Amino acid sequence: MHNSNKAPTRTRASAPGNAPLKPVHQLILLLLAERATYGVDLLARIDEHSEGTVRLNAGSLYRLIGQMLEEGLVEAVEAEAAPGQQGAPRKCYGVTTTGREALATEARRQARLVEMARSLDLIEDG
Amino acid sequence: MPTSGPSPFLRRLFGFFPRNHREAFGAEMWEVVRYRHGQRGRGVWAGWKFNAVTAMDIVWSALQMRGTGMGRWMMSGWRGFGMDARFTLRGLGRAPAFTLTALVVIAVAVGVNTAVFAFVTGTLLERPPYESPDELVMVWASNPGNGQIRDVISGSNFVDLLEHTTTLSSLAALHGDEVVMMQDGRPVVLPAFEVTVDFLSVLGVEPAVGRDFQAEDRVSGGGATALISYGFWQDGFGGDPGVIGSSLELDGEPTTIIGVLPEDFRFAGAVPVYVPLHEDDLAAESRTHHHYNMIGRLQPGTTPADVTREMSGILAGITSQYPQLTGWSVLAEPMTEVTVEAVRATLWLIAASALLVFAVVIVNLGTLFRIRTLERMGEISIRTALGAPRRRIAAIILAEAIGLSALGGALGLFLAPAVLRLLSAIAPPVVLIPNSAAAIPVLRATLEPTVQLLVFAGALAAGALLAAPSLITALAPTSGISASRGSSRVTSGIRSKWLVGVEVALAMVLSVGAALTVRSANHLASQDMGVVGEGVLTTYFGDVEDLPTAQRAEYFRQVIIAVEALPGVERVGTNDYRPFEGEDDFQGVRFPERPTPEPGRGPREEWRRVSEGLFDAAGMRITRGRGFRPVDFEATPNAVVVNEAFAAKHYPGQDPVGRRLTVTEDGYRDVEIVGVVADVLSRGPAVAAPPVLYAPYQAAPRGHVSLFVKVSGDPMSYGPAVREAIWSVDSRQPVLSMIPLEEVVRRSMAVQTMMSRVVGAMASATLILAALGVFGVVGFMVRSRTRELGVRLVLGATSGQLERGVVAGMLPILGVSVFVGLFLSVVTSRALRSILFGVSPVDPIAFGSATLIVAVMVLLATYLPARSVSKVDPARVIEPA
Repeated sequence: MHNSNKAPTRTRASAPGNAPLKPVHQLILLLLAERATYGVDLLARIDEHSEGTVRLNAGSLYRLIGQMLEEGLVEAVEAEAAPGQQGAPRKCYGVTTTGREALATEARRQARLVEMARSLDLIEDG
Repeated sequence: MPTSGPSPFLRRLFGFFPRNHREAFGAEMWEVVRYRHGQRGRGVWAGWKFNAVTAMDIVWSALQMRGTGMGRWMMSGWRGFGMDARFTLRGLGRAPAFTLTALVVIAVAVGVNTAVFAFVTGTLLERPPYESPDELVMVWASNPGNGQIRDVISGSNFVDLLEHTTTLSSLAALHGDEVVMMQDGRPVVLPAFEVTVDFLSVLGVEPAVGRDFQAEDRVSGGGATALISYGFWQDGFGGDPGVIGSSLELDGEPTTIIGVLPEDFRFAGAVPVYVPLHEDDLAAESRTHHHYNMIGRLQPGTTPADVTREMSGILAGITSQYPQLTGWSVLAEPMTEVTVEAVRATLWLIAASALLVFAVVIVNLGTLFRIRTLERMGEISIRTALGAPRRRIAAIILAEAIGLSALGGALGLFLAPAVLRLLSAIAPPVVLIPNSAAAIPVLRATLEPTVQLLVFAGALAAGALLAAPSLITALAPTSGISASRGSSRVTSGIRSKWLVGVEVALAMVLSVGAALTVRSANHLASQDMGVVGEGVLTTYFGDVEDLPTAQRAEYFRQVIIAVEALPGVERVGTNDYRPFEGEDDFQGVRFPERPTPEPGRGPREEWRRVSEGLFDAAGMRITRGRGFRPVDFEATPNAVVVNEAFAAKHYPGQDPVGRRLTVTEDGYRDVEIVGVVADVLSRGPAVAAPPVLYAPYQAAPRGHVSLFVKVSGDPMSYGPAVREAIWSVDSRQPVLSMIPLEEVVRRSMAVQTMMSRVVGAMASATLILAALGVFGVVGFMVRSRTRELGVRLVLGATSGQLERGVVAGMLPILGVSVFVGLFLSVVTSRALRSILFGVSPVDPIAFGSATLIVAVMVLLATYLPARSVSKVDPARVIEPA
């Protein structure tokens, strides 16, 4: 395939140089880090954890998954049939080492921000 | 309306994604769509919202992924549009009458078109939810010589056809029936289908829960089993999966429920119970006991004609052993064709009318819109003078047109479910398959998002279209300088007049169509149907097939006595079937004065076993001789009554009263014709009555008959009392389908009534639109000629003269358009020939009345705004500008 040097036009989950992860990417990575799973289950857990503030649909969910697969943050893992599930096993997604590193970097960055906010008495110690 | 899954349309939108993404995630994305679909709320609005949100999510995500800059282009376009939208809203707010008119007109057009297309596509184009429905065929027994084109077949013949066919990969027999389920000690009658075990596999349908019938259900002797519908499973068992294997008492027999049909399974309406027919029982049935419908699936590479040929050959082989089958052949037809044949012409007419309304709306709004632009020419020329580029002006005009269409269209989509409910309410629940003894529900309208999106897109395109004349006017090179001058406006007014002319011509076409269908429906409604429906309650009752003949007859006699004893009941009669509902029943007839025919060659006619009071109760008129008397019911029957069609066929030009005949059913030998009764148009108002012979019921009563109760007052108010009276004889006997006879008659004309109502409503709408267009144009012409008219008033003309002048100015164009409309009507009304009854497609009364109505409306719409001439103040118009 012809390899063009043009910069990718689509937005990235994490820009080079460990720039901040977007909240929705972070949420997906965290949930997948907790447990590798398939699309519908992931969607249900996003609904649950975000308490309805993040509501993805088919198109947006798989656009994000596709993007993170391409960037090496997540990977398709060996599929397993869910308990009680009949038919072919579903394809599952899990977090790669790169994904875990990105999550850790992001968590450290946010921890620093939280520390700063606390020192300015913007939030209480907790 | 409940559907089993999300619309396939959404899946088609996956096509926006890049191919590799689609291939990698298509199935998973669909799973997510299904999951979200399961979470949506109930109701049409929730369904609509789900479709809109999902479609936008898919398209938007795909555009972002494609990364071609299309998304950014759309965004920038949207921002520019936003600025124009603000101007537009302000402009529209300043002209509330115009805005409101346009919105209402678009909303009505979109609402009506969405509903009509949902209705039409739902019936004509929706593929039935079976596997490869094009391979399915309806197979009929056919006896063209006897006028029975599509008849049911006997069980024994079915078994032979099943065994020998090579053109069909599978074949099933079925029969609409009822089963009685005991509930709280009272019989509850459930509609049921008796089907052979291959029924579901012919259709390619699998039960949603449990299993299909199996080999052991093929023959009798095993335990009774049943499949139930999804609706019955939900309503009767709360959707409990544990119902599989449980037992239900049907017709007094413990019956095991083995499976639940899929939610979207509709073969012929919502039938809750399916019980198996056993092939050994079928094989033992009489060859002439025609009873079952058949459906089959074509072998690859074969056609329905091949099936017809092969099966007629098989039947000919059987006929050599059973001469009574002489004259019978087999007819196979594509199922998807048969089920819509009865309503196709009507539905296309309705669809064509709706499209015509849409066309008139576009022309109408185009006219109004253009007038509005002409009146804003002053403002536009100032903008141009101040340096506004032409494309900016074009954008504002387009934004106004598309904005109005979008808003009106959205309102219309809200309106559509109500219109669809209205249509569904006046549509018949079932229609008779032409030339058959079968009735089928064919009108299954659902509000598909595809249709909604299509009509909405049509409205937006129409919006852009209706801006075209305005754009041409506003962007004309001379617009800036001549805008404020009368000459240009008058020329423009003349162009608008021609647009109005087009509207009037189209309104003329629809009005003629409406007048023709209304005349046809009136003609049908005024037909003598052969019964008098007012004040008659009808019901089916009894399930005493298993009793000996004498006890059966006694049961019916006692029920008649019990019901007749009710206060307010004037007369009671029984008949094998209710007319107008697609039932038929043939029996051989022999005439002693004629040579004995060869076996199977003798005439067969419809016959009905009736009680003494039937003719009085149902208002059937005796035209010669006498009706039945009590004495005719005391012993072996010696008297029969025939209808006029029977008399005309078998005794042309002679008096049949006093002649004798024999019915080939034991107990009716050598009976005397004692009277002739008027024909009952039992196959519908547009079909000639078949010859029928009425015989006293007591020698061979059916086990299940219809009851006719003539009462004083509202028939339905007698329902509970009649039911109790029937149960006072035997409380285990079912009573079902209780409706007034008037309703039965009304239903038989439902397709025609629906057609005339819908086309009539649409014609009224176009007429109002056309009048509105004329009104707008004439008003505009008066306004644009204010200066000229003022000068003429000063010079001594009276306002009356000027009014007449304005009206006269419109007359040539209106005359021409009415004439063109009439010409178009003559051309198009030929297409109506097949659905008009008793009315010629060029019926002068219909053409005359439609022309008169259109002319009066249009003249009124011209005259009313012309009167504003008198408001012109000459003093003001001659002031220096």
